[in-house]
Order: sequence, then C-alpha cells, then structure tokens
Amino acid sequence: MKKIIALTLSLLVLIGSLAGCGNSDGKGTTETKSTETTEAGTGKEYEPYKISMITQLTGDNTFGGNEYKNGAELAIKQLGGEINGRKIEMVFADGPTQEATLAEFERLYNNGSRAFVSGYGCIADRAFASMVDEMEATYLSLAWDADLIQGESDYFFRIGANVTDFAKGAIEQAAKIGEDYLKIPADELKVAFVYNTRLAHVMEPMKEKMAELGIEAVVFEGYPTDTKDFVPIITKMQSAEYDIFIPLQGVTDGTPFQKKMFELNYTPPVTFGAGVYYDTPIFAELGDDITNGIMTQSYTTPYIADDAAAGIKEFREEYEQIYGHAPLTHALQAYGGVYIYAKALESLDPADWDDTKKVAAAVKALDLDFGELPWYWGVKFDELNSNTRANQFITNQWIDGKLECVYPENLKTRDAIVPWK
Amino acid sequence: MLNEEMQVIFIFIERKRHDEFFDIFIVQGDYMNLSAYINIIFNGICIGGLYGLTSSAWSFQCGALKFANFAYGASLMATMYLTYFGIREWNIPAFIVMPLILIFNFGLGMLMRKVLLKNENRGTQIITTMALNLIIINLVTFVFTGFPRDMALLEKRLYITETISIGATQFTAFCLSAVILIGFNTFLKKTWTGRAIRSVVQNRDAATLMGIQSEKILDQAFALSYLLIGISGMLLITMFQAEPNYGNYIQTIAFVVCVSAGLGSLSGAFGTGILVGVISALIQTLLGSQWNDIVLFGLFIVILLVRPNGIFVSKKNVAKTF
Repeated sequence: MKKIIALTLSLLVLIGSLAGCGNSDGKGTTETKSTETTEAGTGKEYEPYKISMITQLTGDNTFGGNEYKNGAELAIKQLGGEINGRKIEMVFADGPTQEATLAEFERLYNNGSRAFVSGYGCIADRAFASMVDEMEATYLSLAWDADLIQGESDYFFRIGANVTDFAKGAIEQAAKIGEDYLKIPADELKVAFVYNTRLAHVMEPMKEKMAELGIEAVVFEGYPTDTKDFVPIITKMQSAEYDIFIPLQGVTDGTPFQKKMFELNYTPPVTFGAGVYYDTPIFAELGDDITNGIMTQSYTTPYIADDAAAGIKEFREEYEQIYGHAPLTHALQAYGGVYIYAKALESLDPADWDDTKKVAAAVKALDLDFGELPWYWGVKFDELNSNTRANQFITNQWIDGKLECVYPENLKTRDAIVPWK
Repeated sequence: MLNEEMQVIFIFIERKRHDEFFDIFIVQGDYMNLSAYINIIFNGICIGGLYGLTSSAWSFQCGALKFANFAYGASLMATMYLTYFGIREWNIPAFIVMPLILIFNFGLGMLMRKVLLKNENRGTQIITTMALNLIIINLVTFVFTGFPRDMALLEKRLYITETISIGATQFTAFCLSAVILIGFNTFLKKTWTGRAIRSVVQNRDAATLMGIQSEKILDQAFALSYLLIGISGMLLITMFQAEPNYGNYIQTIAFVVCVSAGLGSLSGAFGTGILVGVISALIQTLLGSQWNDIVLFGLFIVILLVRPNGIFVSKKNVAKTF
C-alpha cells in the first residue's frame, strides 16, 4: 500500500514538474512550440523573405498571442504574399515566457530570420533592444516601456506608442471630456485616481500631466497587486466629490473592483479607464449593467471611422470573416508592424532584402503620415528610432455592449453620451 | 437619534483630525462621514471572520497537530478552482459538487498525512509541503490556466440604515464561519474522537497507553482539518476571484492571524481574523492601501515581541488552548 501511495505521489510530482514546462490548454507539447507556420506567396527568383514573430500561443495569454498572429497573417494575405515580385512569409513561434521567447529567437535567427516584429506582451523586447545590433537583425518593437531604448541603434525600432505619451494622452483626454461634456475647465476638474501599483510606471507620467493641467486628484489611491478587498477604496470614492474617475487596472483587480462598485450600488459620475483592461472583451463580459457608459482610452482600434485610415474597413471586415470574431487592437498592432516592413521592403530592390543593413536603413527612412496605414498611426522615427507618429490615442465608450470610438473628431464614429443616459 | 449619536462621535473624530499627528496620516479618508467608517468596519468584520475560518484550519494543523503544512494555501486555492469549474464550467449542481469536494479534501488530507507528513521532523515537513505547494500551483495553472476565475455572483446588500449596509454573501459567510468553528470546537470537546484528538495532542504516549490509536487519530484529525480548508475555499470563491497565486496571499494572512492569536487556538484565530480584517480595512481607509502590508506586518512584529506565544495564548503548551 505504501509503495502504491509513494508511486502515485512520485507521479504527481513528475506531472507537476512537467506542468511548468507545458502549455496551459493541454493540447500542445514542446514540439508544438517549435512548429513554424508560414504564409507563402507567389514570388519566383528569390528565397522567400521571412518576417518572424514570437508570440504567446500557449500559456495564460493565448488570446492576445493569437490576435497578434492573426493580424500579422492577415497583413501578408492582403499584401498578396509578395512585394516587388519576391515572396514574403510570416514565421511564428511560441513564446509564453521570456526564456522561451529568447530561445525561439535564437532558433529562428539560426534558421535565417533577420526581420522580427514583437509578439503579444513584448515580453523579451528589452533584451532584444540590446541584442539585435550585434546580431544585425531588424526588430520592430511594440513595447511601450519608457526606458526601452537606452541609446542609438541601427536595428531596433519602437514602432508603437510609448507609455509616457499614452499616460499623458489619457489625462489630456480626461480633461477634454471635462471641458466638452461637463463644462469644467481642466484647472477646476477633480478626479478620483485609483491604480494598481504594478502600473505605477503609467501612473507617474499621468500624475505629472495632472499637475501640469492643474487637475486635482481628490482620491489618489494606489493598491498592491494582491489587494482583494476594494470596499475601503470604493467607500472613499463614495464619500468624495469628484468629476471623473480614472482607474488604471488589470483583469485580476479591475473585474472585482467594478463588480464591487456595482454591488455597492455606486456609479461614479464619469468613468474614464486608462486602457489596459477597460477596452478588453473580458471587461465586456461583466455585462451592460456594469459596462454601459464607461469610457476608456486606447491605442487606435479597428473601430475608428472608416475614412480615417486607408484599409481599416477592409482589415476589420476580412479579419472577422476569416477568424470568426471582431478584431481587437492587438491584431491591428501586429498588422501595422508587418505593414511597416512591407513599406520598407517596397522601397528596396528584392535583391537587397538579404542585406540587413539596407532593410534597417529603409525602415529608418520611412516617412508615412497619419492615416496612410490601416492602424492610422504614421511612421517617422526620431534619432533613437522611436516612432514619433504613434502618439494619437482615442477615447472609446461602451454603449450597449459595443465599444464605440467617441474621440478625437477625425476618428470618432459617434458622439459620447456624458453623463450616461 | 442615531444621526445625533453619530454627530457626537464625528465631532470627536474631527477633533482628532486637527491633531497634528493625525493630520500627517489622515489624508485619504478626511472627507468621509461616520456611516462610511461603519460600513468599512462591518466589511472588515465579515472578511475577517472568513480569514478566521481559513486560518483556524492552519492553526489546527500547525499549532495543535504539530504538522507544518506549507501547501495549505495552494490546497485552498485548488478547492476554489474545483468549486468554480465544477459548478460554472462543468455544470454540476452545487449540491453534488460541494460534498464531492469535501470528500476529495478529506482524502487529500489523509494521503498527505500518511505519506508526506509521516516524517515528524518539522524541517522535512516544511520543505516537502513547500514543494507540494509549487506542484499544486503548477498543476492548477496547467489544468485550469492562470486566468482568474470568478463565480460571477453579484452580492446583494443588507441595509441596516439608509446609509449603512452589509454584503449579504459576506455576512452569510461570516455566520457560516462562526457556526462551523463553534461546531468544530464542540466536536473536539464533546465527541469521543474529538477528545481522543485532544488527548493525543496533549500527550501522545499517555493517550496510547490509554488504548487510543494515536497514529490513526492524527490521520483523522489532519484529514478533518482539510475539510475546514474545503469549506473555506468554497466560501472564498463566492466572494473572490480564484487565481493560482491566491493561496500565497491567504497563507500569509493565515500565518499572521495564527501566530498573532497563538498557534493552536481556534477561537483565538477567529477573533484575530476579525481583528486583522478590521485593522486592514481601517489602514486602507485612513492611510491608503499601500500602507496595509507595512502597518499590518509591523503590528505583527510588535505582537511577536510583546506576546511571543500570541494574543490569546499565555502558556507555551498550546495544545491546552483548544
């Protein structure tokens, strides 16, 4: 009996140990992680040009990882699988953790990949920022960390928004809501600001911007990630007089926080979520009773006005047709990344594509205005290779289960309803 | 009338606010009225009661039975996941899921005692159960993914006055916790098995000489403590999201509660749980959430320095306390 129990327990130990190495959907194996999928085009003379993406196809963030994969796949499809007569193909690898991402990068590099674009979560982009120059591989990063780029680089580019612009943009938009809808000038605006301390790097530039605009934070509450009881914070909010509630939260805290507010029968005058969680389908699952009227800042989404960006409507429609669900911002980000490569490759003779210096230089030289790409953002890099035209954000509002773009004027699809009906 | 009384207390608090010392710290809650504070205290009491129940299982294991179980938090978290998946994902009726989980927990407790905790060296027990803790967390992540799970229950409020209310689920959980702990205490004091457990804990050799099968009794006692973990997990999932690291959080709370109360004191654990719940709520309100752990663990150190055996235990022989 003891032997049987000991054997059973040993097996459990073994399974538990292996569990850490496995994926969470229980379907794949480590072999699956190494499996590459390609989107081949129709070029003739050259080897297909590979653009690689290591993204979270297993683990806790498969949803975001697959959105990235789908967006990049769709870009190749809409480009017809070739540029200037040479085939281009996407190579995908699974990177559920930083270690796995770095290992896959090494493998793909050894297999000839020299052009990379961030995967969901950008979990190893800081490491890539210091690696790719030496390896002469071009890397288009979607990471938003303020200190991502530590110095000049020939190969590493930040193509998306940075956290400082995002955070300051959120406060600017909150001030705009105050002025336009509540008729309160910024220097008289009072906000309740609640944030997870894990997101303190987003909060700091927001705080700076609030001070600059003279916005007063009547409630300013940071809480540790392991906080489970939100009643004290909500009670404080209930007792305070403010105009706009600005939460900065993730899934693990945003959901219980919103639920608890609903249970306490408390609705802030205006809720303006600073992205991160409030524009996700997970938030929508809370139901219209909770989500209706809530506003959120976001990167540009697939749901901006059709005429605002070339190809946005086609992107949205074809994505939904192929993948069976409406695309998220994440898919559009990856799609935008591949399109930046496409624009750079277009400017070169296909024979030069294998010269990584020339590809990197072509990326650096891009000068695309707002609205030229489907993701609306333009492309113009500064001396540190940070995209200076990825600083336009939008405000969405949840209206009867749908996320509608309500700001800015040129991107919105409808007017905001403030205060909520 | 109630409002007048509140006014008096409120004036007292107002005076305190003007005290220079308080002015430094009372920044966050200085616009709150008395009913807001009462709501927060009620909330703290209810959550604290649940902390008390969850902690008493650990207190019983570590203090009374002398088993160092550091897989306690993970076991509780696994129970939360099983409850969620049983009811929400696999659509098994709650009245079937709940007894099944209790049976599972009893079995797990028995298995742990017979295999992992057979060796009575505390150091070995700590290392072994810490390893088991990691195994459970990884298994849960592997099987259920790390995505937070929520029973999607929206809690109703019970209104005491127009402005003072209490969460119905929280209140029910508090009452259940109290009933379960009283029941468990009664079981230990009034039944033959309970008395046998106490006698084995107090003096195993003497109990054995009296004809009690000490090993068997300890197996049963440990398995029983896992029943408490099962009940705690099922109650917790009605109020909180389950996530793989939730166990670490609850284990930390249990540690603070049990050591402050005095290991082995079940009623002490319940009382201290309530105290921790209220203090924690007040720290968050008066100083801000970021101060919670700093002040709470600071108090914990003070308690350990002043009363090393815990608030409710004056003698070193903790077995006598329950």
